[in-house]
Amino acid sequence: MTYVYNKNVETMIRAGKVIPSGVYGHLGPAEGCMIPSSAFPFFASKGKGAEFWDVDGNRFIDYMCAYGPNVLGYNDPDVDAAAQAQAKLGNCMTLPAPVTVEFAEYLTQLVKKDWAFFCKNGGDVTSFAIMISRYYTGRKKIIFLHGYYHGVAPWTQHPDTPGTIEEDCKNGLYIPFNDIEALKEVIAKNKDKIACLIATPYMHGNFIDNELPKEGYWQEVRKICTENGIILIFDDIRCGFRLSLHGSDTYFGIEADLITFCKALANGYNVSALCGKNFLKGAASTVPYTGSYWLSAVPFAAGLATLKKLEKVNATDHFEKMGIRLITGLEKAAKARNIPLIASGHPSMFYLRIDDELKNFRLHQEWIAECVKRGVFLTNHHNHFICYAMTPELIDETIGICTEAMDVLVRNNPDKFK
Amino acid sequence: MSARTKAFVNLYAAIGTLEKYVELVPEAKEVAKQQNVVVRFKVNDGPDGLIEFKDGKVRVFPRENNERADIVLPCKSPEFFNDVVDGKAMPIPTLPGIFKALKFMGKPTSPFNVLTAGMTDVLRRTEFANDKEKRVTTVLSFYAMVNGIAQVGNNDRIARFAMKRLEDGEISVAIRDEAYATLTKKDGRLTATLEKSTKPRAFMTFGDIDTAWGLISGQVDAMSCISAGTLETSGQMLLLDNVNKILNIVPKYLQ
Repeated sequence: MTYVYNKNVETMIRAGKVIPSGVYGHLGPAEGCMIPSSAFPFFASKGKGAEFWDVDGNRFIDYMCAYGPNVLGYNDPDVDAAAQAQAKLGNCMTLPAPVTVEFAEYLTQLVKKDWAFFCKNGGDVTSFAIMISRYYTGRKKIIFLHGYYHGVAPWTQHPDTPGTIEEDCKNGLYIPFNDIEALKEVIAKNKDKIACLIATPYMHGNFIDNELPKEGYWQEVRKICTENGIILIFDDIRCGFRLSLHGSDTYFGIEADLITFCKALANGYNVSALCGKNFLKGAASTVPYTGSYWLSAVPFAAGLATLKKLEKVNATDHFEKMGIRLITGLEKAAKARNIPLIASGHPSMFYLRIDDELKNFRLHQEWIAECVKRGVFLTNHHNHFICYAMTPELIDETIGICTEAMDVLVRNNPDKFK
Repeated sequence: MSARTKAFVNLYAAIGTLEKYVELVPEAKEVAKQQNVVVRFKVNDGPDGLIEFKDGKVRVFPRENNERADIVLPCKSPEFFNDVVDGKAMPIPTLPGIFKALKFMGKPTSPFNVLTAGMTDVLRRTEFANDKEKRVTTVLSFYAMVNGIAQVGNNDRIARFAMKRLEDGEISVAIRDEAYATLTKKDGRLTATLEKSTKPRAFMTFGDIDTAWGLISGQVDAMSCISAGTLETSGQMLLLDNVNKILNIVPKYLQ
């Protein structure tokens, strides 16, 4: 028995009349690569722990975690209690609440940086990191690593992106990940013109097997950036607090100059942070940057409670264990059926792909669709996430459902898995 | 808008769609049968391509291997060629083919002019007397769009950014059970063939004629159709993402 989505479709039809695309962005069917869209729900009615329910009442074990923010579990009681307590005192006020300072103190100590600047979304803080780097260095150019994602601001895009103009992109320099020679070459060609290198801790781009850094890669990048006066920015919006509670730069054994956090920072409450080293604090103070809700107190209280709980329960260890348990179970089931399932990336943020001759993802997308229709929310294009509320029992239930979906895939494509 | 890109679109996407026009419209096929001839448009700083009329079939392709032409029509610039396509200018054929040229396109009732005028009428229709008319207009517009993607992707300065990012491979573009085409990225270029893909890495399939017409004419948006399941996209979506960025630019050249 697979799910039906009548109310989801009804709601989407209503949405389409009043909201561009119905659901825009990565939560929508197009950018969310819901393939086919008929296999996926569109609207959630409630969430609890590692599960959510759609508007038709279908239950899903969730491996997307709202694309990252759900780090402890939906409706985590400790985080929600802290948020509600602050809400009673005040949220968006004429002056910031003291919890702002408390949160900054806790965060900077945790991620081993000297200061924290709060905004709302990941794109807010990646853009601010670029502005600070440019102001501090007096240079214009930015090094990106192929397959990057740092938000949707024009400086992150290409000239062919609707809404972006060529001039927005003229200072981008693009090199492959894990390629020190390419880095040296681009610096040599642009001597004293490069303000910063912005990178995610490892390559977790869409539709590619995720790639961890080679041994010594980040150490060499750090050294080269320092030697050439280039600000090293770690975009830790996706990986932050999932690999390590101390920042992914620490996890990989280096110290970035600036590091951005968002998603897992407050378990779904809306706050992002740019943290940095002392020498950039003056620049961060000088560059004008603010927003109406950036100093709202409730998300800070939620963030503080989130970080404290993540630390207390040793959450990253749990993410990794659950990820390994799931990957091991899926690989075993796939192997028994001659399905070439490839898992890549860090176990707490695994990416799955069924390989196929034409590299067209069709078999993989078919399998993912069968999983979703049976109550395991996975995607075909993006890395996944695990939250602290994920349990071994839910993982084992997932493996059972995904195995059933593999059997459907094999039945539908008997020639492919001999 | 670049006149050079427009010239490529005019030759290979607009005139290039004659290939399907004579297949879909019997009256057009009869006109095409009137003359077996190979015409070369040689555009200075623009396309150098051949239009082959043979036994009622039409083929438009780049002149890459010194193919012989019965008629050579030199155009001094892309702008001039675009005026020719718009009926505002007339190229002077080189001497050996002048009489064939006059017969072929010398007056409004000449086969080439009848065909291009007829196809233009079909492509510009926005109201339809019956389903058949809608189908022919939609399918021809679809083929023009696919041809246009390749030409704009290869030639428009901004679209080339997206074209360059495309991984090698085939992209299937289709109206289910009605029309199939393939975009192929290889050797740094994008080509369109108006046939079903054999090794697709990505798929964009309009569910039916109404969906295709709605999207091509701009009456509905792609995102809504994806949500409704009437536009199916699958496979290596980064290929489609970049094709869509080219497709966003195509309409300004196909107007």
